[in-house]
Order: sequence, then structure tokens, then C-alpha cells
Amino acid sequence: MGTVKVYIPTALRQYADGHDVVELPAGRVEEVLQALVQRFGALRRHLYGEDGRLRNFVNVYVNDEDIRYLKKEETEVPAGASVSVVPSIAGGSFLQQQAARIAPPRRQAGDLPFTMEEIKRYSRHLILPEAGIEGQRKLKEASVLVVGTGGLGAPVSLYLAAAGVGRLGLVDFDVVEHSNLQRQVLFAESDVGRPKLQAAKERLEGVNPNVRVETHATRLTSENAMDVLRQYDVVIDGTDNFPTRYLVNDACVLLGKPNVYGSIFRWEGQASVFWAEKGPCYRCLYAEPPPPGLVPSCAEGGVFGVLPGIVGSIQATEAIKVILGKGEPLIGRLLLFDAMTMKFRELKLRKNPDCPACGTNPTVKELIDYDAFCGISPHDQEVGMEWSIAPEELKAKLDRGEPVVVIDVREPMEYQINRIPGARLIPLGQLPYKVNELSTADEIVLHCKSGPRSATALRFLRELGFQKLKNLDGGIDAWVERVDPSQPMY
Amino acid sequence: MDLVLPRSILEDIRAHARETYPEECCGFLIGREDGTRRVVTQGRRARNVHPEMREVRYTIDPRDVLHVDREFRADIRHLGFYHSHPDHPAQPSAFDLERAWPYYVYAILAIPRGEPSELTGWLLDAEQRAFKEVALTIV
Repeated sequence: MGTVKVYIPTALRQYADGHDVVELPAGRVEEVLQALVQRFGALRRHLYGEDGRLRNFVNVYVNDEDIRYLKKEETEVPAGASVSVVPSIAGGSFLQQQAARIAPPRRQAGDLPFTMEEIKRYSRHLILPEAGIEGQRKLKEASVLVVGTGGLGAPVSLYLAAAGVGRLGLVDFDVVEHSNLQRQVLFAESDVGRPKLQAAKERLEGVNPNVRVETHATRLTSENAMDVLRQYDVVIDGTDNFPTRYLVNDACVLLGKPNVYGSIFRWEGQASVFWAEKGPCYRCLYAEPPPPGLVPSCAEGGVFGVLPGIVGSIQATEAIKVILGKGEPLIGRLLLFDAMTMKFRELKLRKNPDCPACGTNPTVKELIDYDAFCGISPHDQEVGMEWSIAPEELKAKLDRGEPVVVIDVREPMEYQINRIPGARLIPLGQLPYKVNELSTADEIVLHCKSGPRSATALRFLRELGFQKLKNLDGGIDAWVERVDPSQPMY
Repeated sequence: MDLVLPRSILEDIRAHARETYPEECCGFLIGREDGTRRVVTQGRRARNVHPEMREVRYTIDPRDVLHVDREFRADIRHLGFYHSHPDHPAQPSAFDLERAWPYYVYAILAIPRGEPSELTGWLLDAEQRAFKEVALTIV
């Protein structure tokens, strides 16, 4: 078998013992490149991603042809031919976002565990009696996991990064949406459409490059929660749903970690520190979750944009106090805040000896199925194909003048933003009182914003004997997107 | 590491940036290594083939990269790239960092309102995944 010449660009020669050309046995491109990285191990991470695939930013040419237009990595390289590894070169200036990180000069400040830059940065903490050099060192050595980078996670992570917490973990799997910008101060207009974690990491490293930001792009589940939470000293609950809240609580109890809790709805917020070793846990406060659908989410009920800034700042404060071991943390106390009356109240919480998670005879010994615990079955979001109608189909029926009764189960404020022509507004909570205004003889199409509330309404009416029911697939979001883009979305 | 750039090449880069303004221009820096210095002996224009938003983005035609890399592999070698930042400072952007390769010098020319101003040079610190500014000498 003959050989081929592999040309290494100047950028990568330092990882190939300085070679600019290497002769390797002929074969397919993938075989040639594998032989290359086997010979020069340091090259591997520059050519291959963690997933073992060739990096996007590496172009490979066989003679003068880009392999993307041949058979990609399957392309045969005949003996005597050449393979060129060519860096893809791109860049550009600013789309409103910050400049790239410029490595600061790292000069150690004498015997202190900080660089000169850190001393300047943290000076207001360093001269604060309760923090000082010792406290700042504790922050630098500490690690905090923020579950959810939404309304609460944004101020919490910004303040913790600014304060110099050494390692900051973020868990989220969403992308930034326009409707986030009203309260999620981590993100800018230019971040819309980007994964939240990517945008958050950039922003936080921009605030403080000394902080190691670790991202966990996943939904926290019973399978992965222990492994993720185990890696951190303090956990911040910035979640927006009950299954994850109970999951975070139970995992913290099992691991003995403090859980800095916060929650928000409309104009009111709550905060506490649940730490089973020193006080009650979330289950001592709420042993059982509310029935599904009873407590609306912020997406359904709205939320005052500044509220998470206040509650999240309280969470960041509590996390820092826990790390410093100073002051009186909110252990055994539930702080209630009402922005409308601008009042804080405090409830005393007692550890419940019968608590299934942290009581004297706990029954929760491992993580459970939290969706089931919260009464959410995977089918809840759906009502089955035979009970669904696509927006296009509804439009066709309305255009044909068919006598369809469209019921909008959203709230009045939502109805003011967009609506299906002729739809009647009956908010979900009022449906039981207005059901006698509906006729089982009519063909009824129910809709909400995206589907879950109208699915609840459909199941409710179905149990009352209504049969001619349909749930608008994807709700008014899908209607606006696919049928009537002239209306706004929210 | 110091970057040494002849004034004539700087003038060529400035002219290139003026011609493509308000879009970004881009090109190659070619020359020799001299101890800790890199001495540019030749600049070469490249095509900005970025499909959109060329006011804030550039992509060099990969064929141009292939040819320069092939042509200059001995004492005179491919040292890096230049590009312009129309109406933005001569500081690397987050996107520049995301797409930066080790070894290459990245020269950035600010061109506010169509008139070239500051030129800076940057080198990737692959370990810290951050840019370091390099000293620039115009000769």
C-alpha cells in the first residue's frame, strides 16, 4: 500500500512536533486522519470535538477538492495524493455583545490567595469585616449550582459571579426568547434564539473571568440529579415547576446540601433556606404538591419583571451567607414578599418529624418519579389525536361558515393581545361556572396559549358528557404562526 | 511575541478596509519568524465570503486559505490574518475568539465612519481560551 502526504497548517504544527508534512498510509480520509492523531495525540482536540466527530471549523481537502463535496470522511485518498487540513477562518466585530475575553496579566499578590487584579476587584468585600480576606477566600473555594437560568437564576448567577464564587454551575435546556427579556437580566436582545447556557456563560465570564462557569445543558431528572448536585457545595432552586422543585429538595436532603429556595408568582415571592441537617426542608413546608393546574405558572399568570430581581437577590445573599458562615440564614423561616404592598412577612417553619424526606423515619431513600408524584402524567399535555384539531383545519371550517364554537380559556389580558376571530373568552378558572352556557350539541374548539390549559378544559368538559370537543393543537401560538401572522405573539 | 509590520503593508490593509467599508475586509499576513518576533513581509487580500451581515462578519474563502498554506510553508510562512471592524473598536469580539486558531496572529483594524484608525494584533492563548494583545512595531 502506498502513502499519502498530509499537510499540517502552521497553526497546528506545534501539536505535530513541528512537522509541516507527514506521510501516512493511503486509505479513506477518516483512516488517514485517525492515523495522524494517533501519531500526534495533541492534535486530536484541535481536529475532533468531544463527540468524536471532525470539528465544524476544520476543512479537509484531498488534492484540491473539499471533501464535503466528495464523500466526506469516506473519501478515498489514493496513494500519492495529498490531504490538507485547512482551518476555517472567520470572525467579525460586535453584534451588541461584549468583546472577547482578554487574558488579564496574572500577578500574585504577595502571600495572599489572590492575584493583584482580584484584590482590586474584591476590595469592597476585603475591607468588609464580615467577609475580609478569609471570607473572600471561602467564596473563591466555593461552588454553587443554580438550577434554572430564568427570572431567578439570572440575578442569582450575576451576583454570585460578581462576588467571586469560584465555580458556578448552571442547569438549563432552553433557548432565549423575547418574552424572557422583561425579567431575565442575563440576556440581551441579541441573545434571542441562542441556548440560554451559552449566552449566560459568556455574560458571566464577562462580568468576572475568574469564575469557572460550568454548564449542564439538560433537564434535571431523577437519573442525573444526584450526579450533578453532588459536585457543588450549595444549590439554588430557581425552578418554575413543582416536579423539579421536589426533585431538587429531595436530592439536597439525600446529599446533605443546603437548598436556597425562591419562588415567584405575579407580584409575590417567597424565599427560604432548606437544609435538612439544620432545619426543615421543602417537604416539611409543603408535604404534597398542589393538584396539577391549580397553581398557574408565570407563563400563564404573568409575573412582575422586577420581582425575580428582588427574590433572586435574596437567594444570592443567603447563598453567600451560607458560604461565609456568617449572619442568620433563612433556615426555619419562610420570607414572604408582596411587591404591591411592599411588605415582607416571615413565617416560622418547623422541621416535621414525620417528613417523608427529612423526618425521623424518612421514606424517601432515593429519588422518585416526580412527574407522577405531582400528578402529571406524560399524557396530560395531550388529549389524543382524535380530540385535536390543527389550526389550518379550524381556519378552513370557519371559512366555510361551519357553526364551530371557539372557546378561549386564557385570561382576559392574554385575550387583549391576540385572539381568534369570533372566539369566546371563558378563563379556565371560570369554566365550571359557565358550563351551563355551553351546549353539548355544538361543535366546540378549545384553545389556550399553547395547549395545556385547553387540554385540562377539554378533559373537564368530556367528563361532564360533552363529546363534540376539539383542542386546538399548539394553541393560539400555532394559530398566529401558521394561520394569521398579522397578530402579535407573546 | 512582537509583530513587525512594514508601513507599506499597513497602508495596503487600510486601503483594503476603505474599499470594502461598510463591510469587513479580510486577508493574510505572510512572513518569517525571527526569534520571538514575527516579521510580516507580505500581505494578501482574501475574499469575504460570509453569506450575510458582512458589516459584522467575515469568512475567508477556504480555497484562499488552502492556497496560501500550500504556497508559504518554508522560511516565508503563513503567520496570520487581518480583518477590519467597521464602526467598532480594534478589539477582538466574542465571535473572533470563538473562531480563533492557535499560533496565528489576528490583526484588527478599526475603521470608524470609513476612515481607518487603530490597528491591533492578537494571539490566542489556547489554554486560557482568551486573546492576548501582541506588541506591534511599524517599520
